[in-house]
Amino acid sequence: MTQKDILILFLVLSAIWTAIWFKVILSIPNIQPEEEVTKNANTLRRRLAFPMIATLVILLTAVFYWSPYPVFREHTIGKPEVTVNVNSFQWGWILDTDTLPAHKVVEFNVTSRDVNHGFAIYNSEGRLVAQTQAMPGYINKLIFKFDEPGEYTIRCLEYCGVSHHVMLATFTVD
Amino acid sequence: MSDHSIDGPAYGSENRPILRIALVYMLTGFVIFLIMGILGLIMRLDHAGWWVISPNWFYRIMTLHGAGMVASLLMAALGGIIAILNRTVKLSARWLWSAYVVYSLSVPFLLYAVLIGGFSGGWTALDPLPYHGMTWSKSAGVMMYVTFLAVGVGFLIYCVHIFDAVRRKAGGVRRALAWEVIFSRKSNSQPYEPEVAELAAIVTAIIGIVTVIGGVLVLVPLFAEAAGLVKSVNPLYSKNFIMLFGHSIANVTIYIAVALVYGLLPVYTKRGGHTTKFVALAWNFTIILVLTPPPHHLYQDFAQPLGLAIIGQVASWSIAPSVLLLTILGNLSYIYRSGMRWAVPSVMIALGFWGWVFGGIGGTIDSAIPANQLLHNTLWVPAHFHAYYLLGVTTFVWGYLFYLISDLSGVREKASTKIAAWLYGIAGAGFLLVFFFSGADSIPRRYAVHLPEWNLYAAIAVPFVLLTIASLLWIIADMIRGLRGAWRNTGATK
Repeated sequence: MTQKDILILFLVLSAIWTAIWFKVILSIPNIQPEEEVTKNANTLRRRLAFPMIATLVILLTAVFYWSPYPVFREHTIGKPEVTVNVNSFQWGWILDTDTLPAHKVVEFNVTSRDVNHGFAIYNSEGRLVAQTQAMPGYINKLIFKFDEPGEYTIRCLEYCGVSHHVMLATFTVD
Repeated sequence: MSDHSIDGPAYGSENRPILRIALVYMLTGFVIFLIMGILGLIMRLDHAGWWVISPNWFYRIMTLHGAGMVASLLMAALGGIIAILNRTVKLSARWLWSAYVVYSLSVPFLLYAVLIGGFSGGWTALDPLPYHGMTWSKSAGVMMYVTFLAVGVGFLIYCVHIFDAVRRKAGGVRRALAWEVIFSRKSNSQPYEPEVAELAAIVTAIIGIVTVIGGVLVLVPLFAEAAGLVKSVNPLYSKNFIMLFGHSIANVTIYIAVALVYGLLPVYTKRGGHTTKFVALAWNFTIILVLTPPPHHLYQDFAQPLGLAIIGQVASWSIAPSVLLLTILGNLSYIYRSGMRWAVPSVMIALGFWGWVFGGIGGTIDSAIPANQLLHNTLWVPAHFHAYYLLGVTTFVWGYLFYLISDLSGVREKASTKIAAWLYGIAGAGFLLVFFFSGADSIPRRYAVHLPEWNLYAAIAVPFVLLTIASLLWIIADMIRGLRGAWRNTGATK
């Protein structure tokens, strides 16, 4: 799943909703007694309730399976083969390496020594591929596998003060 | 059965001093909203590369914009509720003025923090940043939290009074929450049916009280830290409670705004206005739907106990079926084939339902944990809540304000102003779509400086923002004609 897939899903659902909305708006001059409309709405409500809730329950299972939390990622991606310690401060990143192997499972141990930061990895095309928060006093473990070699950029994605937008670092995957 | 369900205006005019207070709440909110909108435009101009401002000022403007918008729209929505409740519930001018004064104290505190203290830590003021800002002093950070306190205490005074007033009228909390309607059997032919506005008011008051308690639970330790009584506050704890406070205070605003729609729709459709079982259920669910999703703001804090992420996920997704099947479907059925009379307020209501669901689709997608991994803190997030606000809350609340002023003054709207209302919707939708596309392109939110390849998005957004402002000015030009008359018809008792 990429941002493009998400955008398409969003646009399709929005288009469906907009069509329904237009149908309601265009129906206005064609008057029907309130009792009939209410009755039809209640029938529709009854028909939609179960499929809608069932779909969400099924999707919920998938959501957790594909979530980025270590306990799930160890199943979906694999156990970490390489560990990288990441510390952050206003306004910079300290990684204990600047080169990472492709096709190996990497575990980032991310923390902060001052305020909250957001450890976000952007690929060479400028697309966000993974993230976790950097919080003082806690270590967030982000498990990720780089399939594409290239230069990656770390951006801060949690607002941390006036130089937040220049809190950058890079590393290479080969 | 309700007394004022369909007939009569969607406000109470007998107690004129109370109606004056409602007008003051709404107009205060409206004026601040307009100023904050200009600040929003400045930020988008900066992103387009057309009016570059220093990061220091960008982030100060961003802080003002966020705090000002959240607080002003909430205040305006609360004003609307006062006007509607005034039909059937005895309210106290002293309580409502007290709430207004305390709430309004937030304005000088915020201005001091940002303009004099240089605070630019964002409206969420996420601990530990306010006390470690590097470019502002700790006292500016404290002043920001005092701003929170003023809004919180003002809101609390309001909520406690509304809760008490509605409970008294109903003769108990269960009756006020329409539980007799929900649990009524056919043999019990006379369940107590509160007005929709009363039900909505007590529900949002309960949410407000819990929200403020959440705020106090984080503000007390943060003030203790500032006073040197404790070394620091656990950042995971403070983040959870700041998000509970911030999310709930923002989220409850749309429900308060929808309560105005329940009052206003019958004026234009001659339908609805009754607390049916579905309406009662929807409002009771709202308490849970507002207060349980805040953990979704911490999905990317992997140190957070997994149980809280699960609660956030399940709660966030519970909103979709509940709101769609109960509130949206219910209100659309009031509009569908109703012969609804088109006027500025009814156009705004129609637009508001579109925007609410549109923003909701974006939010529901983002609240799926794997999607959030790719969207969190990109412009997708402001896209989602700007949809809620711009094409949900503001259309409902300003639609109601327009109606109130027009009806109180007897100055009828110009037929052409409806065009302005539709334009507001079209411009808003364009502005929001650009935000969503920007988020899908991984552009971070809260960035003072955008990369050159990102400028185009903001360049497309700016004309839409200008059109939004122009259409709003058009609406104001019509609304202002009735302002003096409306003002005269409130205030001193007849």
